[in-house]
Amino acid sequence: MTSAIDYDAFRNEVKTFIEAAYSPSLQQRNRRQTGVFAEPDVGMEWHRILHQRGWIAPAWPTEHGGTGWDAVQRAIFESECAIAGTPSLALMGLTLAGPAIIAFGTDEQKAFFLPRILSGEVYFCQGFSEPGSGSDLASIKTAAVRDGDAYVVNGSKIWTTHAHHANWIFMLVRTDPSARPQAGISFLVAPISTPGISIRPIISMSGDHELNQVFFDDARVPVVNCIGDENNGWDVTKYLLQFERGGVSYASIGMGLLAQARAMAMQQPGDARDTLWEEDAFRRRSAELEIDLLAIGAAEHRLVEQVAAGERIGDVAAAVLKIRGSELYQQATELCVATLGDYALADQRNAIGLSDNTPSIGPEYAMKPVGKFLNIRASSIYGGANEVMRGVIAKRALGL
Amino acid sequence: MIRDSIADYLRDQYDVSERQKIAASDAGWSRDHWNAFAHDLGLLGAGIDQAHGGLGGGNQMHAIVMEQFGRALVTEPYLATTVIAGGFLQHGFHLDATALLGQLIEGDLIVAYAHGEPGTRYDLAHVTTRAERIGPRFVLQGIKSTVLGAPFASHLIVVARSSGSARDRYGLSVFLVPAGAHGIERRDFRTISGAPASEVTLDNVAVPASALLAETDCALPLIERVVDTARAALCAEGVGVISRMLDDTVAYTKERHQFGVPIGSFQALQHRMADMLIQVTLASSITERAVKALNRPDVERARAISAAKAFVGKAARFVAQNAVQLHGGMGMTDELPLGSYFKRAFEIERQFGDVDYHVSRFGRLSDALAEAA
Repeated sequence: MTSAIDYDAFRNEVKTFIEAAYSPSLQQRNRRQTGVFAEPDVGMEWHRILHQRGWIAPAWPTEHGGTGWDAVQRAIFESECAIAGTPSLALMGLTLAGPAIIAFGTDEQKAFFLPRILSGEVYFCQGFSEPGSGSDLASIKTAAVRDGDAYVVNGSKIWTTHAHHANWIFMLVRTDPSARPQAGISFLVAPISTPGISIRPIISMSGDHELNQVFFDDARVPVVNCIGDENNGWDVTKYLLQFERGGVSYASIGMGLLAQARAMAMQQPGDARDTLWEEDAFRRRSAELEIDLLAIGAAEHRLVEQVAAGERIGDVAAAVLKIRGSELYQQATELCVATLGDYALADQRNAIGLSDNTPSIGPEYAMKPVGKFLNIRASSIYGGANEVMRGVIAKRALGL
Repeated sequence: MIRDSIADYLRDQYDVSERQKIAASDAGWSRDHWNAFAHDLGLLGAGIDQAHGGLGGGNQMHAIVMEQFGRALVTEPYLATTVIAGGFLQHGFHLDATALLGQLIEGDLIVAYAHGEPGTRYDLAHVTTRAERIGPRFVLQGIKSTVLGAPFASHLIVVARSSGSARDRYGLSVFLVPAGAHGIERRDFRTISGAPASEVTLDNVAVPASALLAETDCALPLIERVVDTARAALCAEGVGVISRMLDDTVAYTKERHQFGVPIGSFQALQHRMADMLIQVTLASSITERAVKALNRPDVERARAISAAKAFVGKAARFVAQNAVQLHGGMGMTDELPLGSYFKRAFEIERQFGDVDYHVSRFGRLSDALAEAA
């Protein structure tokens, strides 16, 4: 007989930890975070708390700092964090660079990067997309030409979230222009401070600065900074896509937002009724969204059980979750906005930018929903645009 | 044709960079363009009736102007001044209405409409700001939450309750108040599309009875009629915004190449843009229907307006969200005009009632119409 894990006890352990560790001060500052990722002053505080507890990298192998949890425990942990609304960590090191180095890196690369990713000392940004290469990632043109013990890198990456906060960048570069596109790409890492690397801010529709364009102008990157073999970068990329799967629970995120919307609606005046929460239209929207979230949550749960049993999450299952999950995420942010009435028109950024103490325009909970809604329009675009994901389903599931 | 002269002016004088400059300025609006609208184009009087010195173009004119303004994202206060203040003044109760309309047409009267409050939503009858009659004066006390254009307005139109309880349909009064009146405090901010606005606190603001725009306690029917004309104008602006977003999206997908071809050659995206065109076409049609219904009896008018506002709100959401989606990463930035159009579409969807509100109102009014029949 196998010894079963007591998942209820585990859930309680996680809940208790979050209650104790997610301080009111951090909660208050996180209530003003509208970005896809929290700003470092908020995100890194939570990162360090988790690191101290040993819970910063649940999916890593234990010998490199992972928690040893199974897929069900990892899902429980993520779900409880989402319900509590903990800060959205910048995951480029934890879920992309780190796993790439674990799977493909040399011992020296592992020894240098892994502990520093865990502690937060190394903060990665992701250099994948280019102005001419979005959905067609394999067409990237940033070139890396071998010169002695370094690559000379020229080109540009775009939509690089937090490049202005990061101290390292990982990027896909073309090391063999004569090969088939996927066969001529390498996966390099470099310090942001490398001479020849410069950053241009890109302001989002929300007014937030999360995104950047990164320029490489004869930037010299040591050959030893190549993760995996030269020209094997596409395999590293495919591995990372697989590794990322199941790491995000859209159901948990959506349920967390739905709970916020409900709480806000109870404090809002209604038109036909005293409060917005009592209005038929709002109740119906809320219930329908919750039903859809239950469906995707059930699908996620099934996948978690499969992974716990040793199976992979296939392309089709990943596409289903990504498409529907991002759409529901967007609907949930929209429901939060709906509670604000006319205050939804206000640009809260001046209040946010000035100081943590500047009052909101309207109620305090009006600070975040619109900025978040605007930023999350990207969720159906990044990580594989939903149109491309539908193509994957059509081809791989339906044979069309 | 006035539509052409507006379009020409905006194309030549109010392009994307001009609009960005205005939004980035401290004032947040352009007195120069406002004067040009007044004097060079005669826009401010075009929709005002001839008896008051206008061209008599009425609500059709407002729709033509607002659609062009939507296409160019004009931020100047045509809606609050010409449509709303013009509507209240043309009602003729205010003793100085004729003189004030003359100033309005000249561009010298700039009005912001103060109705909604922190504790109210879209129901126009729900007003808690008090107007207490003390001798020959009224004293106004309360807070108005999102008053568009208040930072630079010369006057505010304030809706306040002179009798009854918070949600009563009877008991509302409406006043034209100088923006600098003693006791008016503002907290200025911008809307997400960059338009100046304020939270306005009225602290014992004394106004003479001559400031009334309608009979004491009886203002709601007039308010509903004027706000319905504003809703129709917003629908027209919305049609302009989304038609421009569709044009930009089609142009982008023809230029943007991935996988060796223009992304506009992908059938899935073509069908999406076709769906966007359908929504723009129907939004335009129902707006035209609503503008015509503005002269119909109250219930019929209100029902037609709610139908249009609900429909255009949904259409704006669909077109705007898909425009951003089809632009890929570029749609997320503030660098393309697209982001500003998205935010204006977002605002129009919600101003003077969101989709849910108007669908519900339509339902109630349909019942009322059926009962009356």
